[in-house]
Amino acid sequence: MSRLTRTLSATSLAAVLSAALVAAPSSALAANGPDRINLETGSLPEGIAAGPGTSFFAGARSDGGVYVGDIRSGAVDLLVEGDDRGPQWAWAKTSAVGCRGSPAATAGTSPRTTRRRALRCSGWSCQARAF
Amino acid sequence: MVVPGAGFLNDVAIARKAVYVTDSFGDALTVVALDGAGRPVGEASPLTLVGDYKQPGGFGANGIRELPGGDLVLVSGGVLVLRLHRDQARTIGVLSDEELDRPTTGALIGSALYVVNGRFDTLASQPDAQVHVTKLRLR
Repeated sequence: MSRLTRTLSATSLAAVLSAALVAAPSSALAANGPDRINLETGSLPEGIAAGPGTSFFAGARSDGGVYVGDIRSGAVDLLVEGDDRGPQWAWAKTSAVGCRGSPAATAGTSPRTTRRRALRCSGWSCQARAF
Repeated sequence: MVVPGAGFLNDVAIARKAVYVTDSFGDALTVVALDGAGRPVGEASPLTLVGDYKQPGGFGANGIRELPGGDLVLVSGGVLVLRLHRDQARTIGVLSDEELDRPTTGALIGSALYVVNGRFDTLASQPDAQVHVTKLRLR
């Protein structure tokens, strides 16, 4: 079980994504939804990017984990598992300082296709990886 | 492409006609013009930040995004809306929320900007403090 599942919610990744991918214009939905969406404590979030539908991706500087959330429901789950974390303010071997959705920002139809639309830019490793 | 005098190039916004890059240790953005096919044209040039932007002693400008009308939004301690004019980027508005504490970057989704509220100042004394994404309405 992921740390996020333990600490934030029992919402499944599939549930987050299916909520985000319901056909509706994000412009209309942005007015709804919570004003604050909690991320995992200790994750040192840094980058955020719009994903398909009403989803977003957020990266953790602490361990390189990438979260997927939904602005309408406020649900968040772990999309990419991070590495082991070091001391709080140390740069992790893998970190996620930047995050982007794919330019092909059409909605995926399943968690599998959506995973391919997140891009993580790491810090010291100087790597960009697509998921 | 080399950016002369850059300190810490941090984030990038890719707009239709140009690319804008933040420098966390400088009081200017870097702009690179794009041609119709999205290819860089010419050299990188500075856009001085004027208005409400104040370069701190340490880390400053962080995230940047383009708004639909062509203005930019800069996440830098606060969240500033910038309008471009010649070689300057002037603050024309501030997006605020009482809970913002060292926001880092933002994503435009519909009519709102969703910013990562990094809470670096709070985390220094409360490592387990809740971190979150905060919605800032654009209109």
